[in-house]
Amino acid sequence: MRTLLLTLFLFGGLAAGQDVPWPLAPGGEEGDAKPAAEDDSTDDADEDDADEDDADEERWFALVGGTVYQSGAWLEGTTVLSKNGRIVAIGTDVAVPEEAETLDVSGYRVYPGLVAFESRGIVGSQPGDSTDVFGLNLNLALATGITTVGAGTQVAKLTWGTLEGHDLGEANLVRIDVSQASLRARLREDLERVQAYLRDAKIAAAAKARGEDDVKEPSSKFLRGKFAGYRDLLVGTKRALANADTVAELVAVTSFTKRFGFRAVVRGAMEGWTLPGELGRAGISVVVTPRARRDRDPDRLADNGWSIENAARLHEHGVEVALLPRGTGISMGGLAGGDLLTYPLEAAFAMRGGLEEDAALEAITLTPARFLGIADRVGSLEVGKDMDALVVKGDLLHYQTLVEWTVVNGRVAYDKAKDSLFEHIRPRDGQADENREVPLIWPRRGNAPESPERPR
Amino acid sequence: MTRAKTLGWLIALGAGALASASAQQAAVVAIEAGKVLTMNDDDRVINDAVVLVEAGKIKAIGKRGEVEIPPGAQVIDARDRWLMPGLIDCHDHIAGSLSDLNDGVYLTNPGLRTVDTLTPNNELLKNARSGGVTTVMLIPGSGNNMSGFGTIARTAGDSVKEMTVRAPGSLKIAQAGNPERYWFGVGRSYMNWNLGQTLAKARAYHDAWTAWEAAKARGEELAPPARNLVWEDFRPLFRGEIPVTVHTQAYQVVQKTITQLHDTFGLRVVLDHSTFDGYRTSALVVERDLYTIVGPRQFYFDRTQRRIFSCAQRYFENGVRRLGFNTDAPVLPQEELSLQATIGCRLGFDPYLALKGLTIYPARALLIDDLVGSIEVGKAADFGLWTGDPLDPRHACLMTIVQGKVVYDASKDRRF
Amino acid sequence: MRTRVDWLLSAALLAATVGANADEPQFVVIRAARVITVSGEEHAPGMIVCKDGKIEAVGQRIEVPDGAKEFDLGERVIMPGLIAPRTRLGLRGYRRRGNNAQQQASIELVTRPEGWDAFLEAGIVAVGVYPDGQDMPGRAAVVHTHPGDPAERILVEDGYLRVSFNSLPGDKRAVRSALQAAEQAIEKEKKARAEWEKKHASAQQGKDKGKGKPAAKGTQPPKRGTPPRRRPRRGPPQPPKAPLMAGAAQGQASTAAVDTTKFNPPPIPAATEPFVKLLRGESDAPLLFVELGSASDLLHFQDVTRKVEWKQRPVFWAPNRSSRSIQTDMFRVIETLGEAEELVVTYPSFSVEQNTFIRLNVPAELSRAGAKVAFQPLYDSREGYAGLLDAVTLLVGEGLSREAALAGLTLHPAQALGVGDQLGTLEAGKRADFVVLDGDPLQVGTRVEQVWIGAQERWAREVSR
Repeated sequence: MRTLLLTLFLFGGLAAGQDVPWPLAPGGEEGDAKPAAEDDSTDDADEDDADEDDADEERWFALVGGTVYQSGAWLEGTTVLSKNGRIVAIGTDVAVPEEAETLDVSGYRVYPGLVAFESRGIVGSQPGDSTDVFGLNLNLALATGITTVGAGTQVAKLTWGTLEGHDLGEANLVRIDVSQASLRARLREDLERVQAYLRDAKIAAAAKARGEDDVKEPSSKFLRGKFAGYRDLLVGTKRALANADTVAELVAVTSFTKRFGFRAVVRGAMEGWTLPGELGRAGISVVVTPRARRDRDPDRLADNGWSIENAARLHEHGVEVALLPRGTGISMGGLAGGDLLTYPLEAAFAMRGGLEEDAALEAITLTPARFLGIADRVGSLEVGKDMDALVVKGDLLHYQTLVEWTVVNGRVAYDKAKDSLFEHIRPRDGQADENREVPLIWPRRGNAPESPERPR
Repeated sequence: MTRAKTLGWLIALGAGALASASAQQAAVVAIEAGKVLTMNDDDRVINDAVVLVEAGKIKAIGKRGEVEIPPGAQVIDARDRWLMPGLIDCHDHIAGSLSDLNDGVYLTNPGLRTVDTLTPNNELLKNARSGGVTTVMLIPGSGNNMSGFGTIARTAGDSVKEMTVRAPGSLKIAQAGNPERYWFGVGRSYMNWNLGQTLAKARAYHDAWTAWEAAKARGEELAPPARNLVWEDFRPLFRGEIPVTVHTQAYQVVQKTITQLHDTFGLRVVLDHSTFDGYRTSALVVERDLYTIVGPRQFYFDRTQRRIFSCAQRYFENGVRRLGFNTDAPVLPQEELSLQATIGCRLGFDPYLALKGLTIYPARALLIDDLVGSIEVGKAADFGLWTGDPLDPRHACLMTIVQGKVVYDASKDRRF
Repeated sequence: MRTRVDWLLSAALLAATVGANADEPQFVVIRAARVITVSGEEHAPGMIVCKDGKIEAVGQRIEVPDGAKEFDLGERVIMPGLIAPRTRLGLRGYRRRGNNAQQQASIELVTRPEGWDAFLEAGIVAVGVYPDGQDMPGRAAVVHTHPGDPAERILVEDGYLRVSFNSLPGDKRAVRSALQAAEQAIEKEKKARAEWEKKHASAQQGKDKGKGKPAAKGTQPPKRGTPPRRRPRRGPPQPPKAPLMAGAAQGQASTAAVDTTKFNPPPIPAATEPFVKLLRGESDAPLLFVELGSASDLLHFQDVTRKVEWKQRPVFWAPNRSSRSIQTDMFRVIETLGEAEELVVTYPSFSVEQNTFIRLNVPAELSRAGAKVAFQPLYDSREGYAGLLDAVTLLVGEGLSREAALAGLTLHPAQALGVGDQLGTLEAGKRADFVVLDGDPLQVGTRVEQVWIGAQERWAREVSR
């Protein structure tokens, strides 16, 4: 609906003969409807959209003239153009088609939409089949700038108001449990079995290739269920996901990765700062919570317990770091600062411990996307990736910065000025620092407030 | 070891001991700070400053060059740091033993005191220092309506005496919102009646003694009333020397606190949660100049208009100025006190006023602003040295000083 | 104009009476101060001419045929009988899960359930009785509310197919699996048909060439109605009893192979059949009654039924979040529902935008957006029905148009039950089911005086003087 209104407004302006500030290319003619793609933008982006590439079905969207954050670099006065939800051009001289829906973001910063590695209560347990795309938690997550979440074993995008492009399928992770000796023993057995199979299959394939007859291929019937997952692990198409906080647990995970050669994502890694090099060399990546605490046990000689510098130390030693808050849901109870509602602040706390800004931003965007196996689509603003972005005035990691717009798949999924939730806080049209005066409304059952508002 | 070596060791030890002794006796500590936020009435902020501390108190404040550092002073180089007054939390449960949090037999237990539970240098206090927190009001829990008298304590100190700033610090009353679970379950009518009659008994005790004291002053010799330790601590309360810090939230309950405790009993009231939609009582709070310390919940989702409000900001918008923040530690970690203000500001509150709400306003609420709460000559040298804006999670408190002594040094044992 | 039309009607009626048996009084004429047709005009005063329980004509002045029984209701107001599309009043509950699309609620109506006088007292002439349970529990029955022989009263046995779609992902999966089963059945039939055609074609070739080959191995299909089995064929196909011989009479051969000249499709499980019809877009595909819980459920429903060719649009049940809550988020899809002119059954009550206290008049908004609104009271009880007219009147006071209100009580619920051609308005050809009121229906305080079904007075309010 907002899209429609926005488009209507823009077209209405034209029709009325007003001087609507069309974000055309500088000196661009009205007739120049085609987007001038960047040198490095490929036409592959268009060809890939086989299902959506109908001439009548083109849906253009552009964020115009903002300061765009692209993997560590700040691009000033830059326009990001998308077609059917995919970015087709990023640059300072992008010509935007007339029929495009545009958002003038000059004076604002454009960041990639945030990716939360884990979430609860935001999308449905089986997202494609149960998400409430009008849900309050979804709305709040978008207001925080989150555009993609992991939920259980699934991954989903926060497509407000539509199921199109919502379900991204399964995450690229295989869960393993190394918490108990018996489980570790079983895991070792199973992995050895799969490893033996792979070795034998490789030998058999080579023999076949040489033209040898009488090649006995190993039976692959057992490669079902968890074994299929283990096969993906050993072959390298998926990563393992394990919970490990203490040094003992972390070492358990490294023993597996070193022995079997797969990559693992460790959730927690509270004591990771005591052995960061070890983790790096063992191919371990981590999802850490900067403020997860366990006090140091003075009876142990070695370093132990938590450290605010966990993320920074691990990152220094080449470990991929993603971040998550203590709570992975969104709570409306009022206790703030510990759940996804303040997701960017987790990155700020990681910086408190010494993590650099670019790494901190990556830890809440591209790195979790990589862990989930969707980094080809989300996590950064690149041509060919999905048009998922958030727009803020100022520094995203400053505690006073609230998201102004959130775009998902080339649609405005959240507009702070139009959504009542945060609209009154440093409103966009008002003065920079003052809040809008909102009267105290007393709830009178059954009676409407003085001016009942049209539902959004 | 050879004799010479042993002697050498002894001399070294002795010299070390002498040196540390002299360091302790070093009369003056000088802190060179990049920025000093005094939090005084003029809101003075000094860049490139020097603060002199002597015998645990602030001796001088000024720009570098204006203030002379005496020779022999211990100099703390914090030229890339911000110097803030130590933070003050009005609602704390971690300075004492956690297992005694909700001690109590009756629905009102006027005779209990948390000073009996103070636990110096416990782990949570050590953590608290890492957040720049130097003074806390240790109160008992909210499991019943009146759980006893709280103690104002420093977060550093090796003994109860060293820790205690004032005992009794305040009376703790939980108006509603927890005491309902007492035994058989109680409701507001009963709780408020019971509170009232307990306070009435205390009042009667105080009045009896006041009358006797007045008579004595006039020269009359009367038999003194019976002394009862249960009611003795109420006397400074009724004299207005200590406040009542009240666990109270949601409109109806806060309103009851104001009308019962302030209007009827004339106590100095500190609203020590005032969350949910307690801000609807703003008009009443303004009229009575009460202190409102908001926390641990920092926002309220108003379902009449689908908006998220910062409780503190809502109070402010409706005229309340005496505002502060608390953590209700351990509900939230004590060292995250500044983060409470961070959230308030994220949702609209003014950052500078938030800093005051962590320092001078809580000090005034607890009636200790002559001792702490701002960096002014004569007050205690309770400081936090921050890498930058204390409200910005990217910055941290790397050193905490209580009464002139360094009690937390991140370079040695970083905890936050 | 109107008078001229009335004269024409009268002429037609007279012509009809001439040919009729003059002994039996087939015509019934009812007059009243106002007749609300809901199909267009109101007549004040008005009259209805009925024959054999159906309406012949409605107008202001129609010439009465001879021998007609006449009733003059005086200062009263007549409108089409009200219809409640979703009730289980007086019926016991039971549990049912899964796809039971072939079950019918009509089997529960052996006798008239208790408490149905409540319908008559409220002016309701027909109701849709829905089957209890979750997922797809079966087909509703459309029933007249007056006492009498059930066989007479049940208008439709195979009413709308109830689909609960408010508890996701379970409900969505149930619908998906029913549609998948239907797709598989269609695939199976296609394959069987292709095989049969191949064999039939080669059999024809064989016949033409006159070779003594046995006829095409036709399938021996079991009769329809037997319990569904995964492999309906028993053993190898049987050759036809009469061997085809070269040169034998072609006619003989064709009669002998009568079983194999017509393709008999493999049987489809009864519960899957309605979905097969939906996917194929057949004209006798069932009307779906989709019970949504929230706005998002509508999107999920559209998602799972993408491949359905809708010959008739489903009916949507869009209550508040629950009967105990006045919160709703249906307003989010009002444009979607309005643009497609969907038929939406909802409570005749105000609701509140979720998480706020902002009052909404969802029926008015839906109607303004273009959707067709039908009302079903909040409580399926005597009190609920007694308050129906008043509830709708309050909505009219807050933005619902009069036309939409009246249609929401009559025509639209009739359409929701699939009997929009028989009930819901006072027009020629429709059943003579109407309610007589002592005042304007959309005025608080108006009472139901009489209920007529099939041009007979079935209920009258006792007036104590």
